[in-house]
Amino acid sequence: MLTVSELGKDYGKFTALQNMNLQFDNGIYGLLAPNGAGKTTLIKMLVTLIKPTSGEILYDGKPIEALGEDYRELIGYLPQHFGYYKHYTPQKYLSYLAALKGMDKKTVDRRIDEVLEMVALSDVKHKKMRKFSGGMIQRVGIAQALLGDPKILILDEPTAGLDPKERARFRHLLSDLARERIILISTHIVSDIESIANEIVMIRDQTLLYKGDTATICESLRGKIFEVAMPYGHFGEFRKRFLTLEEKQEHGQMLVRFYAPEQQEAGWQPAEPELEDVFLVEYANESSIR
Amino acid sequence: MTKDNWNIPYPDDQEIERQAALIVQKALPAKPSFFKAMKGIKNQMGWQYLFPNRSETVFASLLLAVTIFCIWLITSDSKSISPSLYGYVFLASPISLLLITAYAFYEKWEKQTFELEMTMKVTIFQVIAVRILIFSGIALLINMTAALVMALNFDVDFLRIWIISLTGLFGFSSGLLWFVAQGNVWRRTIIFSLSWLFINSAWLLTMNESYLRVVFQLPLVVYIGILLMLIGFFFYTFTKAFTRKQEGLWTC
Repeated sequence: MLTVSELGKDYGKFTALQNMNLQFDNGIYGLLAPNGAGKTTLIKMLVTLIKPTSGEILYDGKPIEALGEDYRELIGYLPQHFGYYKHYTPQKYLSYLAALKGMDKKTVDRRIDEVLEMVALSDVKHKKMRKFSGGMIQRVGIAQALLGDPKILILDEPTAGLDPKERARFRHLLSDLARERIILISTHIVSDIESIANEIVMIRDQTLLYKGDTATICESLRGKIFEVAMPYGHFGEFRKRFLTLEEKQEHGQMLVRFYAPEQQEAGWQPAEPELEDVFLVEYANESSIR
Repeated sequence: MTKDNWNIPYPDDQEIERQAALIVQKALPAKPSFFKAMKGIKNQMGWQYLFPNRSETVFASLLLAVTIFCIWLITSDSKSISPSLYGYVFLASPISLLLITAYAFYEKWEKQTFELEMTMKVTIFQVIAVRILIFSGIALLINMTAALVMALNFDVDFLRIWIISLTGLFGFSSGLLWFVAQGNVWRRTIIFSLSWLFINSAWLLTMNESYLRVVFQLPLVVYIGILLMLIGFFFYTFTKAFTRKQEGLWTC
């Protein structure tokens, strides 16, 4: 079990994260927040890259800093910007990282074949990575994170560059893996985690906003999400009054999904809240998603 | 048979000792010796992965070629030599080590592999330390060759110039490893490296006669003594750097 206790991080006078309390058991956790909210800071602390200013992180009751290499051995990490050596093949790069991970040499080749198979890169394992597309590089990144059969898998924006088919494959893969490990996926793309995450962690104002399953989090907006159809001409005025969550043109009219916390008018259809709605409502004032 | 509630089963002394040793071993795992740790890293990584970047090899070869060219240029010019050569040798001997180490880290930074590699079991410091050891070995041979070439071409004492160059090399390497082993790694190592270049250059430029007399007349045995102390310090700082924790390094 991974426990985050009263965790905080300051950079000089700037507070990146404060009073975070979390607990992770085996399963998939979606870390959802807009860019700049502190997701990457939290992740960097979880993978020991940066030290917290306050609080601590414990694995099975022991501080991860004290565990040192014994903790790092348990981690699989995909950074937001996955770097690689262009003249290396996936096979060679994974062998290199396996050496750094301290993996048993006898089993490395077999494990590399397994993880490359998982991300559908077996056919190109001897091809130099300089010719790979962004999606292929990202899949190499996912493969290296899985390489050491980690107990804690931390993926920062893992679906960046993946096409819809690859995203679906990735979600299936994570669902299979989640039974025996903690998987934490940081993203601002709601659809990546909505269907697979056991719990969603949301950060706002540098601290924890929600931690719970999708249904529970969505319940907070029950009775506040509506849909209404209107002529195009009315939409501009309507938008000034309400937070709109989705718009589409249909049968010559504008079909609008929106948030109305305090009132309901005739003609409005109550809608089932979704995680995307929670995201847009909670972060309505954040500049990155307005 | 009646049960004696006051009779508590107690392990014998041998069992107590065995259990105590087990607890101590778990709580305080024995640190491997210097050579065992080195062997472990070398076996784990292999030479090819200690130098994963092809451009590093190209850069090192280029550096070697430039060094050879410079030596050739100096030796082909004139047989007379400035006394300040010894000072230049002291200043320049660790420069190849500095440039190769700096370039290796620039490459990791530029290729964005650094962040990922810092979350691995083998620490970045173990890799740095082993690389510095290897580079020091290579630089030692290059220095010896350069000293020999100079001794053959100029009226200089081979042993003196070789030992001066090694003093510079091990002095710098030890300092570098010392700062690697401390906190605030990047800032301190950069300041140390720049200070080395600046202070030594300033020292050379303002060098006076009395300094030169010391350089020429100081008995070799004193130089050897200083060198041995620096080599001892090198291994001490190497062990420190090799075993330091890397948690939280990203903000250093």
